[in-house]
Amino acid sequence: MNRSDRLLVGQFIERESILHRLDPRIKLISLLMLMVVIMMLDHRSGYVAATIAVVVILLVSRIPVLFYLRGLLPLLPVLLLTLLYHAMLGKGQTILASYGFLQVTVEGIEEGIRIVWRILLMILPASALTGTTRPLVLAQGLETLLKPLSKLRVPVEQFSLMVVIAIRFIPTILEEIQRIGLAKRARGFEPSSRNPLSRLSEFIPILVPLLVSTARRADHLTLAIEARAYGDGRGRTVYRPLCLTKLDLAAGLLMLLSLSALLVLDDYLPHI
Amino acid sequence: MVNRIKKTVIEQQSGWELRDVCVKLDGTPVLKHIDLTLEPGTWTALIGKTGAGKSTLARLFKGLIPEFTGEYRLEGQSMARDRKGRARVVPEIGFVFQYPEHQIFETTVEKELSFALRMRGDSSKEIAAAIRTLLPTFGLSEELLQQSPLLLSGGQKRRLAIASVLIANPRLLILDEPTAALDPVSRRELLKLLRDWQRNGLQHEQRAVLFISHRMEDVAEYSDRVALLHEGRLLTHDTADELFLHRSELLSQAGMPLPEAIELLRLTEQLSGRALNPASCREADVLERVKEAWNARKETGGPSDEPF
Repeated sequence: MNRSDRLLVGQFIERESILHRLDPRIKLISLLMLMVVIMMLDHRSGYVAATIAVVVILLVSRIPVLFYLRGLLPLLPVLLLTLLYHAMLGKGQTILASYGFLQVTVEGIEEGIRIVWRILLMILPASALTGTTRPLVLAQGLETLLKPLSKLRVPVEQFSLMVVIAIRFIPTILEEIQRIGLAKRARGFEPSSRNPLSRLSEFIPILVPLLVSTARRADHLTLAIEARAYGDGRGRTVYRPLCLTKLDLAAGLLMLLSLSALLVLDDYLPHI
Repeated sequence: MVNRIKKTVIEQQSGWELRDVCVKLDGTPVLKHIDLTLEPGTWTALIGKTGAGKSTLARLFKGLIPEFTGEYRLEGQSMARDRKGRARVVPEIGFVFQYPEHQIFETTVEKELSFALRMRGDSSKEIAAAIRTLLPTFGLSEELLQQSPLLLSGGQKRRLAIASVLIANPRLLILDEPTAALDPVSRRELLKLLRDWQRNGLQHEQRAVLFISHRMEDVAEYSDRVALLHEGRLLTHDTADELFLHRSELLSQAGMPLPEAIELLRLTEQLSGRALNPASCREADVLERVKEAWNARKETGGPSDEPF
């Protein structure tokens, strides 16, 4: 597997696990339900229970923990900022320190931790979804789920085709970037240090030719799609239709039950 | 002065030399035990089927393949490697990639042309002079200099991309299918331009070209020597005349066709039962012999519209 292939799959990690075998629709619906439930949690005991549930999901996916941690890395600044925002600007009685309009309160810190925690509880299962589902299967699942919307004249199939094409062209665009980089090096350009900032500034001039060639490619692709009589996409069939198995139904049911249990626990467990 | 002449003599003898070079990409051997020397002042064609290793070999010469075994001597010097033993990109070698127009990345034509010179640290005076001398050769006018290269026509873009490689005046120029997807007239023009550029090198710095092509007609027309690759091995490195006229069995071994004119020559030989020995494998020389055979047939009285 070369570099661009690895980047294409990116989020997906090939493993043998129950989560990998599940139907994408079940996974999508479960994720949605899980997120809603997490939004509804009010008490710390509920958060603890939800954390256990999320950890179980991550373990069942058989994907190395390191993968999840690496996925969180780019989000770190956002999480930190959220935490600081709440800690310094939150309202509360117990003031720890104050400076001008900034006020660090115990309640603010607690609120910040709660929100960051909530974000983590929602992001981690989402990366479990993308880690265990191939991008194209995920798009197919999304399309099937959104199908009823086409009755309301929402162009679901076109949208799904767009998503599929976007995914398929990621490696092509990466290849293009590599090619331009190679052309620069061939004309005496030495990539400077490992400093990420200067590397980024080297990347910016490539963007314009990249955008132009991508637009040109999109234009050609549109023509090619039309030339094959794609039309409005009605009545298209798929090569591998999705079908629900007993495992899928069991998993969905299990998810439903544990989520209801979570809500009940949140309200009736002794509040800590 | 004496030193310079001495150095020049050594350079002319050495060229760019691969000794027992092997390359593996992602674990699969792509080039196997290659011994090949590109001599200054020669146009060498590199031919072989798709996947034979042509592009890899070309990139190796430029130093774009970081890891290889064996030895690569550039003008008498062993290839410079960095601490990790990785090959260095060779600035003195020009490289025109496939579809060079897709690799234009600067915002104006002038910047694109001057990129290699700026990287080398030339003064703006030198750069301006170099651009002024090069532009007319490539049929680009000075008004274009401040334009965005993305607004040029396809042919202009390709010429610009090649010009921005030639402007650094490389001693060895590597061309990876420079005429792919060009119309026949543009193809001939471009090849002629490149051939003239190669021949116009000064006496003491003769220019060499490594030319990858799938069109045997172009190979026969322009090359002094031909290197034939087959499944990662170098089958032969010989003069174009020798390969196309006398050792064509090597071509069929590698699955490559003969130039069309030579096919016609062979057919004419078969029908007339006589060996026609053209002066070279160039199309004009070969067709000359074919024409002579036809005329001879006419003179002996046979109806000219019948086969021999």
